[in-house]
Amino acid sequence: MEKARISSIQLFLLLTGFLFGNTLILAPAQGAKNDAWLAILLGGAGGALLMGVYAAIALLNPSKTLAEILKEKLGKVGGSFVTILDIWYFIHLASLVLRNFGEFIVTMTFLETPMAVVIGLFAVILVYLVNSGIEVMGRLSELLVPVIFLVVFIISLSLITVRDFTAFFPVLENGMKPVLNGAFALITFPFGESVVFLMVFPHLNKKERLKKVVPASAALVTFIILLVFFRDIFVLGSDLMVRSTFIPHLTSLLLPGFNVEPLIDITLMIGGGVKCSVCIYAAARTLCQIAGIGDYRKLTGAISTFCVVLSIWVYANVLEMFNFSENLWPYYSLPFQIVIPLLLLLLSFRKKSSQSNERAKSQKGKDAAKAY
Amino acid sequence: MVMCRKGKKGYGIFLVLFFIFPVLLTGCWNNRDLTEMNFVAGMGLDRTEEGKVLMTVQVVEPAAIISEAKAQSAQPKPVIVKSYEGETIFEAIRGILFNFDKKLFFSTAQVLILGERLSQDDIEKILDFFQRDHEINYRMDILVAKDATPEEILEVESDQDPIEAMYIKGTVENTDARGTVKRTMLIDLIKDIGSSGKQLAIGQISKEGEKEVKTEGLAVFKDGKLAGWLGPYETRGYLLVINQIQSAIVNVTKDKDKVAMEIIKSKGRIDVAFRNSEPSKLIVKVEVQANVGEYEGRGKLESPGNLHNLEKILKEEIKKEIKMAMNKIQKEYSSDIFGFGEHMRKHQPQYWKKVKKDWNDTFSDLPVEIQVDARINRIGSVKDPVKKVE
Amino acid sequence: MIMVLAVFAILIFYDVRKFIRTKEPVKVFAIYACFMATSLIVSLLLAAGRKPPGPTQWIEAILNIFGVAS
Repeated sequence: MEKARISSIQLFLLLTGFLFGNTLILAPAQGAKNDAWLAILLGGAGGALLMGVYAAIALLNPSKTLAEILKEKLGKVGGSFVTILDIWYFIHLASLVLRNFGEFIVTMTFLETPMAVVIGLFAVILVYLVNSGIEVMGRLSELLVPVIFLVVFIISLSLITVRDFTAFFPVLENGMKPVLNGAFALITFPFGESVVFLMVFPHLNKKERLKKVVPASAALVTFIILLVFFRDIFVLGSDLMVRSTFIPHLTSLLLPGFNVEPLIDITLMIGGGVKCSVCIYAAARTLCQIAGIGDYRKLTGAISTFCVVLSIWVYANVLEMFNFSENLWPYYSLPFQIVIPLLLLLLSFRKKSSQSNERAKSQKGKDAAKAY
Repeated sequence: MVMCRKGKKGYGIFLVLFFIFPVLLTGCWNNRDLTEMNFVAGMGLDRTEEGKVLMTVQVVEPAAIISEAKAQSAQPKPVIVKSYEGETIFEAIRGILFNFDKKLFFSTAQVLILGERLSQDDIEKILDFFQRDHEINYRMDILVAKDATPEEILEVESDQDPIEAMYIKGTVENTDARGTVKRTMLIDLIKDIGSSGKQLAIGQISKEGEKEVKTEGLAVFKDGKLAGWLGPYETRGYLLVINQIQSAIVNVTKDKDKVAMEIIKSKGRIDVAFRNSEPSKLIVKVEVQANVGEYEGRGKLESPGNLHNLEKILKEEIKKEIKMAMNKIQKEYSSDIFGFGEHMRKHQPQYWKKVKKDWNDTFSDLPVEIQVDARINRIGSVKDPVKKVE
Repeated sequence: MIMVLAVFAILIFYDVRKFIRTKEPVKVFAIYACFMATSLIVSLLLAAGRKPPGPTQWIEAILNIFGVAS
């Protein structure tokens, strides 16, 4: 087990950057059109709950990574099987993020650059980052993730002159169904994706801080998504917002006077970079643990190469990407994000209570779990 | 890259990267230098008689502008105007390169002039290119040319600004001091096209002699097709309702004296009243604040009573202007450019669903209630107008 | 095509040399070869313009069996 430690503020920023990631590019709750703010609130609450489940698992199994927990709870064969599925999921997630990033850059910024080049160069930096270890990733997010907030606030504030505050009316024009769909989509993307962090939580230096870090991060991200949604709909109107390929890009074009488009690229680069590197890190660590290889750095190169190839391979075009992330991703993620973690939580509880029956103590951990 | 610290071999890799990265970091794949681009200042769009698209661009020649400032010698013209026909806009834009040496750069375009023939067709569909292309500036001003083709408008050589598109943009921008032309940016137009309860209305431009243009009035559209025009005063009435007036001069007559009132603040709101779950009345509420700007006559302005009197007259005048606009739009064009339908869609969606099918007809039959509230704040440096001392 | 081969050659050469120097166990080589071979085959197919059905299609097919995807 790696001895690396990160502080709670680093974890907070890493988690926030991860959740922020490519969320704004794909706008998962967009299907609810001008009721998306309701979907965001619901999805944010649901997402926080789901992340609470992950935190509870981590608290009930202190200092254990996902692979170790799975092996312990599900046995050697079952555990290995689920772990391999999870590795696939992490790699897939990383490549989807890479593709989002590439697609955005190729559609908006560098129109004639081949996407493989954009993604490949980005991946080179990510390999370097992942090889530097989780501590460096934490410190880097401490440095860079605040830039995201800064950019979001700067753009939102400068657009205050061009807006129509009634744009999100009428409320619930199409009923509750799109709202619930949007909320569900938002739970699985981005909140549910933080299941990857079960590989990172063990590195936190003060375990009990997890109880604060996770909800705070979920709340902050919900707030930012909400802010950005309102900004976009006030500026673009619901019709154009629903029709646009990449919403933040269009919004940034409307800023009077100067060009802030590169700032959008920067937020995507930071968010996507954090997300992608955490995914690659988690995949490499899990793979090494299950195969019994000591140093995960040996495999990051291979995994990243595979991610790059996979990211080119997964979609034929940008519309396929949107279709997948809107219609298929939520269901595909269900087992990885909800079923397996809930199962683990149940098994952890059972073990904990049987232990406490025997020894009639270790109340503390249980209380901690009850807080969720 | 971790290897960098490990002796000679690491150093080699470091050197390779050191030389590769500068090449990669210089910019995009399709890097184009400033000198390899033609900057487009204005665009014009029209239909030909055969139904093709006629694209006109006004391209800036930077060298000519600089040399013009230095010496008034015989120099090439600062702008070049060229047109090209195509089935689609994009084809025409690329085709236009047939006599340009460098590629065109569209982000600098300031105005887009739509031709009359195109407007009588369907402009809602044709604007897709301008939304989709990444180089188009969404804040570009859009105008409809009256009694002239876009090409003619863009070919005007103004003395005021060497780049004619900038001159046009300037005349549109100063509408915030006169309020007689509607400023429509591409983004506003796109939003209006997307909203089901609002028809399009775009500012009007026409030629005024050989060297000038005139931006005054409004082109009213119905279902994407040009329905007719509004004059400057009707346009102002319309702009008061949709809350787009910043400042304007309204003349009123008081006891045969002419008084020019300067509107300094205006707030317009619209609403729809219902009876028996049917829309029964359109309500327009306008609040203005004004200053007395000019008093041509022998009257008295000293007492507050006089001022209140003046307020009443101003109210009536503004009401008249709005009524004029309303009448023409409802009875002649029957096109809801105010967005009453959009207001209903937002705030009374249950009714909107019932009436949205033939809303334009319903709209033109509804009575209008106009409530104007006027306040006069300042009277300027003198109280009474000048008079011989008796 | 040649570009793809060249990139992979550099990557593999760089990594494998490192592995040999540190005398890694066979399983590292096996996993590494697994990933790299898949990547190489897929990217060669992609470069040749023949896109094999990817994970998106598999997932869609699996979800269709369960009947959840619309």
